[in-house]
Amino acid sequence: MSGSDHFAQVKEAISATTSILFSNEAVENTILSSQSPYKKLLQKAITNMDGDSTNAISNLQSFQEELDQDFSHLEGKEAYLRKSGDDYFTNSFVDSKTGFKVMTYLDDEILNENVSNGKTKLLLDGTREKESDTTDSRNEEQLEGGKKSSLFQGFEASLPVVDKVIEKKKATHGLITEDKDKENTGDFLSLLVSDLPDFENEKQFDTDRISRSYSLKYLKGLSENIIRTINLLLIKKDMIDDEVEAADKKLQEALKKSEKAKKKLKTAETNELQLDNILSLVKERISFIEEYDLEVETSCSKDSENVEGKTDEKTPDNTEVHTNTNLNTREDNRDDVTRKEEIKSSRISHSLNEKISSKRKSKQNKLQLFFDEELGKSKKGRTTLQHHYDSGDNILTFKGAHANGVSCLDFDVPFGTLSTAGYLDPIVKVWDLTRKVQMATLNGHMATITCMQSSPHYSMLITGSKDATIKLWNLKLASQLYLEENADIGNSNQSCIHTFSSHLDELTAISYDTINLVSGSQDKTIRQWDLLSGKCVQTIDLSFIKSRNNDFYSNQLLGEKPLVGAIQCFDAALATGTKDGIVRLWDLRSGVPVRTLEGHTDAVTALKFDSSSIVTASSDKQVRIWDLRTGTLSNAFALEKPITSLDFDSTSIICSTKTSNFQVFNKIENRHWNCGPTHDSEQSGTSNEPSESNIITIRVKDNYTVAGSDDGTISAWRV
Amino acid sequence: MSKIDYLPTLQDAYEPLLPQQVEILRQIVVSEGGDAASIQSRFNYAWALIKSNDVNNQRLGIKLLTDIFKEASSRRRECLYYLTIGCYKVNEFTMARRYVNTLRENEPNNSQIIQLQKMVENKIQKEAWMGIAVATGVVAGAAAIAGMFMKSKRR
Repeated sequence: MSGSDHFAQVKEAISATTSILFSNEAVENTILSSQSPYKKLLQKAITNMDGDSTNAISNLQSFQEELDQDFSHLEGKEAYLRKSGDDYFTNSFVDSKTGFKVMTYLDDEILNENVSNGKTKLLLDGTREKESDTTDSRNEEQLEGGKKSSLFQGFEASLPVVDKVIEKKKATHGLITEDKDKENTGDFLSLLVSDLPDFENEKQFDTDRISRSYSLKYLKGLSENIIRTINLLLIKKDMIDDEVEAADKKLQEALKKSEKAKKKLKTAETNELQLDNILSLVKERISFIEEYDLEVETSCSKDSENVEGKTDEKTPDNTEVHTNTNLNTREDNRDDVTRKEEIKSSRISHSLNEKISSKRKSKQNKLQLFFDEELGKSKKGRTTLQHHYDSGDNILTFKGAHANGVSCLDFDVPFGTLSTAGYLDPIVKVWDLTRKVQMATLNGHMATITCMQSSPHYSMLITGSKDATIKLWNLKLASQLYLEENADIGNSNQSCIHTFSSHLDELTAISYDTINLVSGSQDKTIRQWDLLSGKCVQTIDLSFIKSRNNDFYSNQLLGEKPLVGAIQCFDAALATGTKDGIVRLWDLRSGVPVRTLEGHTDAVTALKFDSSSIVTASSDKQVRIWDLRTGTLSNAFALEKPITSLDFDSTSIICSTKTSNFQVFNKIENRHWNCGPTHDSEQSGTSNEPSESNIITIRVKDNYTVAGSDDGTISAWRV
Repeated sequence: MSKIDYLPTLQDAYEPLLPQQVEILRQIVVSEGGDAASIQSRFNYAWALIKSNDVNNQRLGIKLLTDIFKEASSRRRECLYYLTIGCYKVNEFTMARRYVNTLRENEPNNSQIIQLQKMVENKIQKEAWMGIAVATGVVAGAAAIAGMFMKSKRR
């Protein structure tokens, strides 16, 4: 190798080292410092030059990587946990000076960024400093108020505090143990530090002495002392101010983070729920197929489905087979195939019907069977998704679900299954609140459905209709049949498990609890049914009740109010709200009213009770909350219009008054508010005016409200 | 002194605190959560370290100050001032010059900064003179040796 080559390589090696660590200056120190690893490496590079200089340079580069790692490790070290700076900057590669330089090096960019920013405050100019020194007054300080005190001032201000801590330590700890156990002193110190005597009264200046003193020297000294203390306090104030600012900033950031995380959680939970629902659908499908022994046929039906879906794909296959034959036969063949499929599918549906009905026939007691099957099948647990919405948020809306308005609705759990029925419409629609789609129709009643109740435990629905019958539906079977989309099944009411048909007039209210079902009808009776046998076990005659409002015209014009406006049973307890405005509590074992709650001046339209209280709503625009134990009124409030529907959960009572909003009464905060599409404060006042969509019926469970309107809209809200 | 100056003088940096005081300042930072501690507490500790007599402690102090500089954008200007003093104290005059020059650019009329800059420049010049002296000495020595070499060769 020639000498010039050598020289170039040495140059390269040096420039590599320099570029590795420092951008422009302060290189000489690194290289000149004794025992520097750089030096060694450089020497190595130079001495090994004739061998392979490239290797040396790569050595240097790998060294850089190691160095980086080493320093990144160092950065992670808790600088504050060290008692001193000894060997903080040293590591296996560099001495402390070089390490220090690397770690404290500031890029040009960061150096100039923000320093020249207008936001940063100006350092106090020395001349101005002198001025304020001469005036020596507090006012001057305040005049300059725009500027905050410096860190240095803060430092000076906090020194007295430190001294105080030391004093305290000496006082309590004594001088002896100081050096003996340093760790203990450390702990002790941290204890002391944790409750710094930051803002004790700095010094008690004796006012009496001031008023008595005639010594100018003393007073001047005192005034200087006071000014100094005040200055200290001002600086401290600034310090604390800064601290507050920084903490606030952090708080804001944390809040933003939490908002983001909440949003993520919401979407995640929504997805989870939807998948959960689909999974249960699949499971249902499997059990459905197994139950009705459709497995053999399933393969056929699968085929037929395939054919239906992929007729176009199948025909080419056929044509391939028959490519040699002429066109006519091919067409014939295709016709044959389709015809066969038709026959097949019709046969399948037929056999399916037969299978279902045969299974039904084989067991005498369908109800018994239903509950046996359903027993142990737990519905999905409580969801908390609704809590991720803000109070008053609209969760979902189905528009035009029922052509003539919603007559009644009920759902099992939030984001579960919703059943709705409309006026002049004998069909119940079942909705999936998670996927926001219709999942079944229940076809079987002959007239408008007036009341219904779904169960959080079984996938069943009980409906009462104007055709004087009560029907119990299997929602799982219904949704399976809905999926089949088979015309034959759609017409039949396969999913109806039992029809309770002893009433003589239209049903107005039903309620069930475990095995008891009670129903109130316009035939002036309340009937109690046994859900397991499906038989009527008790009839309570209500013919003694007279309408409070006997005005014939008003009855004719406004439509007759139901005799039994509301009913609820729990175990042997039964509560009824009737047309005469009286709420009666019955004992189902004896069949006599044990208590009457009088107060409403018009027909009771809705009621609900829990373990401690009963809430009733009436056409007289009042909501009354009664104490169940004493039978006295515990709270009441009036709304602007007759109440059509009422429900409550653990936190709020909600009422619908045939307006576009519904009223929410928060029991915990004792606060009324309107919720609905126009729940802005401005518009809530005008809610009396008839709008297009008036909420008629409403249900709430666990802060999740579903409301049905007279234009057929169903909407879900978070309250 | 009735009022605390807005900024420390160079002299301030040469008045060490008691080790106990430094230890307490450190404890405050630790109790506030190390890196999460307030800027003021961290500065207190860093400044106390810079004021100390031990070079390693001073360096650690500068390191902490650099962190504060990076973190608190509203405090950058003052931090530069402290950094200049710190670097001056640990004899890193090139770094000090860099910092003080940046400061000067932003506040050309600040007498304190002008003063500081002068001091830094003075130091650097002194060093430079020393460097030149050393260099000339080396050159002279080399020349002498070369001369001797030549002489011996001539012989």
